Amino acid sequence: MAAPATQQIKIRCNDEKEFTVDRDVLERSVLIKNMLEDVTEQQDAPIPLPNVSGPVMAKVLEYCTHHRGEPLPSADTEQSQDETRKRTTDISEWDQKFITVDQEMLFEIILAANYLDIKSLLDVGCKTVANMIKGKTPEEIRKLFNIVNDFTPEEEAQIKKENEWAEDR
Amino acid sequence: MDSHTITVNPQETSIKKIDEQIQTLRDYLQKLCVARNALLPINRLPPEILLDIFAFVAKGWTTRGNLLNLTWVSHNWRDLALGSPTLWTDISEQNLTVVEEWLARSGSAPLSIGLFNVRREFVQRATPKLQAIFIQMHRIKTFHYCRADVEAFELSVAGSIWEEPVPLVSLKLEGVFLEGCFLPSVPDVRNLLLLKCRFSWEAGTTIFLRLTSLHIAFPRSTTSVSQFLGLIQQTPSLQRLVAIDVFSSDGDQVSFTPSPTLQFPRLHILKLGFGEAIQPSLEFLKNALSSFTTDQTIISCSFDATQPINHHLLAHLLPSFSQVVSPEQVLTIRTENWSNRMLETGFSTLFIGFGDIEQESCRMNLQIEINRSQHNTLHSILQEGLSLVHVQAIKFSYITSHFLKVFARLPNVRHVQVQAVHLPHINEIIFPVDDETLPPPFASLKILGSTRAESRRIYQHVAEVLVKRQRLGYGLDTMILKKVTYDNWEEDALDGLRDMVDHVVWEDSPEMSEIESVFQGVEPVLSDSSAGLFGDD
Repeated sequence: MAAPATQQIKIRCNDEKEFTVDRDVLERSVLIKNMLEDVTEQQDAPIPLPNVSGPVMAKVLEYCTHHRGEPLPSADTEQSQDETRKRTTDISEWDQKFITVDQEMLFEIILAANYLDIKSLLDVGCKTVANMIKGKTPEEIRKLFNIVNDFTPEEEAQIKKENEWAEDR
Repeated sequence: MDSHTITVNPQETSIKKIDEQIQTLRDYLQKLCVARNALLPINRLPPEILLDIFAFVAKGWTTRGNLLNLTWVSHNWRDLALGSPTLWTDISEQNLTVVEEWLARSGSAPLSIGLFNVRREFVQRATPKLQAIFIQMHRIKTFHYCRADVEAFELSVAGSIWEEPVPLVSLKLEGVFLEGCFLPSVPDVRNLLLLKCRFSWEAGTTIFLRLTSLHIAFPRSTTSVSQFLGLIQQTPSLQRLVAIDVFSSDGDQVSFTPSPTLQFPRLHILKLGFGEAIQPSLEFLKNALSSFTTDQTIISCSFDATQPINHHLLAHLLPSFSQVVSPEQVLTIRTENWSNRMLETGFSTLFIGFGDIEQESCRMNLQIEINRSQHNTLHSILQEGLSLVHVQAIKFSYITSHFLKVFARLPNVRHVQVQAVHLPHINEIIFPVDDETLPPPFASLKILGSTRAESRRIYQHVAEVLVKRQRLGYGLDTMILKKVTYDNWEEDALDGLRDMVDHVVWEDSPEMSEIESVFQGVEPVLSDSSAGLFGDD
């Protein structure tokens, strides 16, 4: 059976880059879905997305296109799944390949997913960062994200104590 | 402050003053570092997202080190983690030695306790820690306590804390001795899992108002489940009951006299099973089975008779099952032993698995059934009742082939589930398509694949057959594919699949991109709505 023709929607990013996308793809974003539902008349003007740049939006659309048609989590299921969601950092093979980007882009995708309200993409981003952190020492984590040690002397003393009781098993 | 030159005038400066300057510089440096860290990409994430990441890193019962490490990275991360009580709510053997710290950091958030490998020496060492946890009983939502030693442990070691009602929602206990004061004090529990437990309290004192799921398995030499069921017979909220080793051999089966019946009006999933070397009397079993009264349709009633000792019981028990579960309801029989009597009960689901069965005897049994099906029993019963076939076979491929051949021709078989089928000659027997006298085809097909190369070929063949069926007007409502790959499929088969089904459900399929390209244009759905179709296993 042939897929029914879907409405095309235009969006404009903060760098003036424009995309024309199938409505069902864009509706993976709850933000855009709500915007489209609020607009009763057909309008040709592109939807402005001031918090997302063109290159990041291109990645987001790649994700949305791949996952088009999958059920969106409802508020109820979201709440009930929240606990189990937190306990696994498994990411599907396709999502893993998709999210293999440099750190700058990774964090931009997370911010965009948060802004556009795409829960599943936000999860993929957060899990990816979590997997980067897991099993590393504090020093290794600092090196990974270019963080410098900025503890106050009081905090350093407290951490030293914690190190002692943590090792005293 | 000039950051390049520091002028010290010995006339005007004392050590004290220099120390003050050093401290000022240190403070300034620390603030600079904080400011620098704040500009990093990861720290530009909103705090709630960073906390989400922390939760993915740290939640669970085996992540103590990860969580502490997060608090030792930077000032900002430490503040964030320590200010989030919900990060500190999982307690296990991993962090039991520092449980006081976890309890303090978790504030008043609900706790989740998971002690999975408790041994006697551990208990002696950890008793003070356990007491610290039990003092917080008012906020423990999940409690898993699995005793590794054979000997039962008295959970009441922590004192009288169980005497007060506690708000537990999920409780799993294994190898635990339950005293009378224990279970009555958890009235809110919804999920209760008791394995290898002994208990002692007065009958009729335990009423679970909110219990929806109960899983009990008590091996012989401990208290029997039958006694337990007798004690909780008034549980109006119970929806799912899994009872393994239901009927103990320790002689108390005669004492189980449901009075008047087990009142589980909302029960709709019932799984019963036997363990090793348990031979309850048939009369007792009949009484027990008929005592499950319910106003609901039991959508899944599973009887696990995979232990060899139970084979002979199965045939005698089936009539009792049919008293409990009407033919309209779905009853799943799990067995590795094909029995003619299985077909005489009117059940509507059949789960057949083949394990270590004598190849010859199995074939003989099967031949008998096939012969009979041409005449009376098998044919008529299956025509009226059987609606789902689940075939699981790895070793005896030709036997499975025969089953498929039989079932594919049955008029009321609407759902077929094929798991790990290894059929070199499947193309000769599966789902015949050229016979116009065929009954209406099944409406759904679930294929649980494997990654073996030969299996891939099988699925390719299945696809081709399905396409032929489609051309004859026999479409599928639903097709579920799990771990199925699409390597090297013929273009014809792919084209056909694109048009043949209304819904495709895929689960854990390793090559999503290929699946998408195959089914582009087909509306996919996830498995929830279809899961019930295939029972609860």
